[in-house]
Amino acid sequence: MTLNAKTISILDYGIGNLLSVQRALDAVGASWTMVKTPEEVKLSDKLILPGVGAFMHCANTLEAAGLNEAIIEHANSGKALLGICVGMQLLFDYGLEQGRCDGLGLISGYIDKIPDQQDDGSARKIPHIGWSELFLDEECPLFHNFSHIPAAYFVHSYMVIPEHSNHVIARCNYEGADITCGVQKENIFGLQFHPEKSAQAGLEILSNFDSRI
Amino acid sequence: MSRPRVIARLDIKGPNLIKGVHLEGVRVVGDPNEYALQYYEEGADELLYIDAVASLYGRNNLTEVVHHTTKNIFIPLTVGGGIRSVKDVELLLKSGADKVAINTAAVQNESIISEVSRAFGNQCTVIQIDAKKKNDKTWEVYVDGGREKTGIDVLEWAQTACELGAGEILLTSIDQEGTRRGMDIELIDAVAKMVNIPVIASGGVGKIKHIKEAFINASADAVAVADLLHFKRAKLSEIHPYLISEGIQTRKVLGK
Repeated sequence: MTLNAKTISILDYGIGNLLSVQRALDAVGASWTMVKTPEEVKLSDKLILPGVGAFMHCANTLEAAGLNEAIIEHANSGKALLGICVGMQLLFDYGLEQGRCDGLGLISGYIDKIPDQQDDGSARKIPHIGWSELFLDEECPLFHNFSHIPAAYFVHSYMVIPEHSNHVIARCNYEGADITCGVQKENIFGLQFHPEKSAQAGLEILSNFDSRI
Repeated sequence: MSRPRVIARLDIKGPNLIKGVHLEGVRVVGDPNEYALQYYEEGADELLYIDAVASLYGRNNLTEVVHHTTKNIFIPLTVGGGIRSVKDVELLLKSGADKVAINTAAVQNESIISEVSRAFGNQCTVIQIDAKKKNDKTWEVYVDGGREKTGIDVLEWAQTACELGAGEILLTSIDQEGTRRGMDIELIDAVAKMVNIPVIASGGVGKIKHIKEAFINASADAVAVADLLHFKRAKLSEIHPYLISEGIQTRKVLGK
């Protein structure tokens, strides 16, 4: 089997709302295919790594499927990789949800709980659910020619703490917490929010991933 | 902060979008897919589907409607009505739902909340509370589409659901639902102050200003709107600008 160089591979390891991602890619005219095995990952051009739920569950499931090495190899070969939600978190060194658990280690940093108190001591509601405005690095090709007021849909209780600020391409402010919600290290991209659920703005990001990366 | 959300609520019976009063006396409005697509295009922040009669018959027939709807809608969808097991939740999520709202089954068996939350995350576990006023400052939980009283206190139940792993509460005032007379502000405020998870307020929106009141006079995180939209007495494309002009920072939506 060979995959068309223009085709986006969506990694199916049994986790995540893959139907929504497929339909969003359809809506922007991107061609996609589902991949499951390390061999299929190796044949992929662009790869989307989804993820939802707890970090540890996603990381363990990925590892049990023997996919870690293939994803790391894919990223190291310079081919595009996009992690969405927990898929973004998995790109980092480790997570602290339900105990410490290793991630893929592709970008330096870790995942920690969004603080449940604001600076003034009042409670911050967790999970962070809803639409938050994005503060973007407009030079990132994912955000090319953004025609919409950029707000995106979030659902998460944990956030990435990147070691290097130059990997940050998008931030949002949730009740005073400065949250990194987009990262890029060369060919490796990650988004904490769900582009497939973020209306027109999200579709534009997916379209850019298809056509500009 | 996260922007206050305006959610379009669609109550479904069989293949139809319906609307009732006090969760009863239903009237057919039309094809849910048409309405859902229109609300997405006009700038709804989320959609909420509730199978109005599912729990009465112990079934869930929404998977097909959900599967069909999510084809061209790119905002989150919460689905509720008749969910009894982790398996039901899995089927709905696979059909395209992002969150599930559980009501009757959670009251009958609390452990379903922690089971669903553990399996799919608290972000997709919404507890639906149908509340009816008993007296000043006290509300009772009703199940089976608002037909059966339980003797359970709403505030205590909200707190319990939160501790068991609920990620959001969908709070419907049976007294106000379908009346167009405004929301039960005291109820919403009491629940929102009790729990540290987001509260979606539902029931009673008859005018745009009722949405504003739920955000300003109670601390709702989201307001579900049905009747006002279904009968075209207001459009989402006018609701957002109105709320913003009133100082409520909802998502700015560009016209289509």
